[in-house]
Amino acid sequence: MTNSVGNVAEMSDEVKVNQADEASHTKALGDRFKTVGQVRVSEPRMRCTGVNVFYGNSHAIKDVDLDIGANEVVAMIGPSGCGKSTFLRCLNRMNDTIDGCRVTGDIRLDDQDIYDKKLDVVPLRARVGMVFQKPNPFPKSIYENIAYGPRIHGMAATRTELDEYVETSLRKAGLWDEVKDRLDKPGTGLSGGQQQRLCIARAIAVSPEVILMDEPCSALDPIATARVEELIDELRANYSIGIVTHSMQQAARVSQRTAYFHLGNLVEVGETTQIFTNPRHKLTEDYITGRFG
Amino acid sequence: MKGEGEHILSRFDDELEGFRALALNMGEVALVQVQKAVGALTSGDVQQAHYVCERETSIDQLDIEAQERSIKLFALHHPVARDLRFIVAVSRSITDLERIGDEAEKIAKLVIENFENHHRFIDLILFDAAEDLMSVVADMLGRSLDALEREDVDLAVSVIQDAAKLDRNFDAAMRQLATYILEDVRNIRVVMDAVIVLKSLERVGAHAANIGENVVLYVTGKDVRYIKAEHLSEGYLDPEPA
Repeated sequence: MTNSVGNVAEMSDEVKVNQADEASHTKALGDRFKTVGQVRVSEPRMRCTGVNVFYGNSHAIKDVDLDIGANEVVAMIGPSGCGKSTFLRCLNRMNDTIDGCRVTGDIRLDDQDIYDKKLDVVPLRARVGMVFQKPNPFPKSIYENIAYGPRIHGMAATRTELDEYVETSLRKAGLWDEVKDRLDKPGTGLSGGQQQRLCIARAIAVSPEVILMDEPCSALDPIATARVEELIDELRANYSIGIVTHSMQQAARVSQRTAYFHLGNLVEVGETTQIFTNPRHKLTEDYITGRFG
Repeated sequence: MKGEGEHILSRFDDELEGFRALALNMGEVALVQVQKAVGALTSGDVQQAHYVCERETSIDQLDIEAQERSIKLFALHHPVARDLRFIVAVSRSITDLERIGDEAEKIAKLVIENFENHHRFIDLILFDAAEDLMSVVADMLGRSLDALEREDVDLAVSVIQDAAKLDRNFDAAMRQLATYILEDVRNIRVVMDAVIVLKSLERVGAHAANIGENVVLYVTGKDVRYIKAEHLSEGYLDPEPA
């Protein structure tokens, strides 16, 4: 396993070392937190089975099963340090870039093992795109921010095709009308909310199947947040979305299913309405009502 | 909240308990109103009947205060799960208590109408039926308020199930009243008054059962308003398997 983004990542033998021991250790710990609710959906876009993540000796994610269905938004909530961002990063192998991080288990995208040795992680990260907490547009023009992905992935043969990718992506992100007259201006010159929508457009430009969002609105004001949430709702028609958020109100607003993580365990997952009106696990209820026993 | 960990924001817990206390206070007032209204009827005490009518405004004021508090709780605290169900349950119960107050006032006005304005004396037939029914519904109301205070689902279910028995008692009383009209058509006036009183008391019992249903919703998350009362003891309220 290498630490460089974009390199072909080989499944290191050390990832599989002592897998059996880790699994039994995990089961012993995980008994207390048997996941409540339906982890599986009928037509999953991504399927995770027995996922464990270790940072050195620290067991960060413990034996998690979870599906992300087609055209749904799954919100992941939980206290700081519970592992929700760590889990999210498993889904496009961004944890490969972290020293000492080991991932075990099975994660499939449309039934393809994403940790297969033969898998090229670069196209994987196009198919499973990511948007981060702090908007991070490239230090390039607005046009180039969007065009970069299709260009390096060989998706556009001509300038005209590239123009089309740029306009389509910016329209889907609800940004076209605001920037169409200044595509040559720096992406970093946009407001925070616009930058985040630019990042979403950038992810969309490479035709992903899944979009992962790690606290995408944390750095945004309420109006920009509302616009991004509206965009998430529109994107659901074409993509599957996994979103980590500290805001339970946001999780309630944008998602169809909500997964609650606690100390590395997936405690409960269910329809968002059910989670926020009648959660079945006491840990879930304590967290979402602001009580910690 | 009873039996739960403390909220990080203690003020929220205090406000929730204050909201419950307001409902329980309103419940006590409503219960006394019903008892005094029927007492005024059976004793012919017009002054007591006037007192019930005047005291009705205090129930209305509590209703207004309760609505303001519930709006504030929703707006400022975005309650979810158990807290959300609690606020909904108590809000609904307060509406039921306000209606109970209205029923008590209705009985009191009937007393005033008969004893003060028309100098008519309500037949003793009515007194026994009213007192019997009043003791039943007062007990139901008292138990429903206890269930709300203690979050006692079993007690709440018992009140819900008693509503079915109350309906049967009410139907029996109506049949008996019908016989008085058949005996002597001049009884029709007193029978109509009796129907009004007994119907008001039956409504008090129904509202007490509603409060029981609200407690069940709050504690279990299950809406049992349209479930037959006898099914509530058959495992319907058991938690769903994980």
